[in-house]
Amino acid sequence: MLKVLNPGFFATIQDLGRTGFLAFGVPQAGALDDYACRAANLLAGNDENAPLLELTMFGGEYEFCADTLIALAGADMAAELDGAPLGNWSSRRVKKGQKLALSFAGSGCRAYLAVAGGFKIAKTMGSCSTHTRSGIGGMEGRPLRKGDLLPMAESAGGQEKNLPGELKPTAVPPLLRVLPGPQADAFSGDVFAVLESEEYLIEADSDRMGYRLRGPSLKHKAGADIISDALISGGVQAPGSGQPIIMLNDCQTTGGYTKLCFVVSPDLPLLAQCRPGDRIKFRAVTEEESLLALEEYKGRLARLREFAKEKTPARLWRLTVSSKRYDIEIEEVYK
Amino acid sequence: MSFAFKILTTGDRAVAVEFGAAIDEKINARVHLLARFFAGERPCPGIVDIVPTYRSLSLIFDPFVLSKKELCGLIETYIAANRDMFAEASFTRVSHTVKIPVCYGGEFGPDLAAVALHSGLSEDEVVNIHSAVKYKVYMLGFLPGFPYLGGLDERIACPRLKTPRTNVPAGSVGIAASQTGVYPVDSPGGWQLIGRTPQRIFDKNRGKPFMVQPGDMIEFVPVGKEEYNRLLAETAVKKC
Repeated sequence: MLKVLNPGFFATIQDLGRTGFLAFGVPQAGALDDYACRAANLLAGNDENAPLLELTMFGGEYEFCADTLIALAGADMAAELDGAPLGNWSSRRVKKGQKLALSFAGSGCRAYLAVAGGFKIAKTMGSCSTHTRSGIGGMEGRPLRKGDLLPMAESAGGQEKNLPGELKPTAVPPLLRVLPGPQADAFSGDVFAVLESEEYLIEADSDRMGYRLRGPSLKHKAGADIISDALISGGVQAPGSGQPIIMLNDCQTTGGYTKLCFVVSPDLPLLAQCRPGDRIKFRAVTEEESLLALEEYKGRLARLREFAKEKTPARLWRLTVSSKRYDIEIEEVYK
Repeated sequence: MSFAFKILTTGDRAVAVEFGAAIDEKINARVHLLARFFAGERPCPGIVDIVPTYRSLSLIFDPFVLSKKELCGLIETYIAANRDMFAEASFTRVSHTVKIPVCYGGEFGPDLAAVALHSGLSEDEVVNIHSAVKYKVYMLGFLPGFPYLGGLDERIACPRLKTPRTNVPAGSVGIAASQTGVYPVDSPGGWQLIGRTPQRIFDKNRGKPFMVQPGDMIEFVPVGKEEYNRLLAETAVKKC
């Protein structure tokens, strides 16, 4: 069990999301930062889709009721295990009774905490992802509360790992690549020139459903309403105000506003780490550019999986004794 | 009968097949015909999910498994091979009429008076008109199990609330512009509430979580408060 001593600002159980139920109006939900979710699970020796915790802005405090291996990825919340700093994008073995405290995110918005074997939560419609508005998934379809006990597998361990720098996302203000959408011609003038012209501010009333933006207004030719059709994460729609909203994983499955464009999937993890008050920029790309972006992301995921499979490399030391050089290999060995 | 469709790009992992730009039974029937091809037994690997709506079918795919080009080819080939079927498409699940008991007005329908005032009708007339029609379920969306219905009598159409309520209880029956519907779960909402059903149109713990499906017909049956409470108690017992 993992005991929730303090759930922080907003903590939910997520996996890679619910599929097969959009036709019934059930949103996909799932970890907003696909990359960090996969990284945390892989570092913990799990399947990439295993249920883990998504912590928002302020992580909270948790007690382990069994020995296990844990992994942290995503936003750095200055984690401490019984008061000792714990690296982000890494996995560590923890002992029964140890307490993990996570503070405010220095940068980024969402941290992921995976435990070896994943949380043992019953699936709802094929997934453990929490969708709070529908009241399904995770812990009774709601955010975690103080006192919650999350069942988890007991694990003898596994290898502790630190993700190398080149596999960690770089913290830069995101430039989001977008593909023009089906209703782009419902906007007047050179709407993409307007969209690309300045930064957009992420408004305070943004959440897992979507980010409301404030910036240059996107003008419609004749109204913002269309016959309701599908909404998916990454979709950028503009209601009558002309201020865009980027839909995220918890968004309703259908909606009736014009959709100007779609953020390419590989940029959604960057967006997921933005918080209210952050500024983002857009850049329209071609179909070809979006395919290249997908290829690049696929490559990163392949390297992440490769790293997770590797044993921690031995460290090499070079000693010189009486002008004689010795190469020594030091390997961490766990019982 | 002829028909047209176009395949629209909606990001790097979805396309939408659009059969028209209207809320129309034929167009919707074509959407669900294509949905049936992609639902259940997937015709190829890489189809992740489908979203049938009034006039389009969105297909979400895994771009690492299936390319957009391959998917578009598959759609075009299937429709071309079944042109007659798509042209003649009709979509009504025969004898699937779902009766939904509704207690109109009072605490359950706080906006019934406002709708009556807006329509220039009495509250009873609004209830009679609302419960006289069989509504077709064109699609589910918005929230789990929420049916988008066609067929609201224009006389009782009414704009949304200027300020949405922060919480609308599950089962609330409302009107928004030319639409009527039932809230499946507690949720914020801006519809004009005219009544409430004791039945749950979505219940994750039920064998069949969704009470209605596209193609069904819905009939609202007025019930008094006593009947409402009796049915509510029955629903609660069934849940255990």
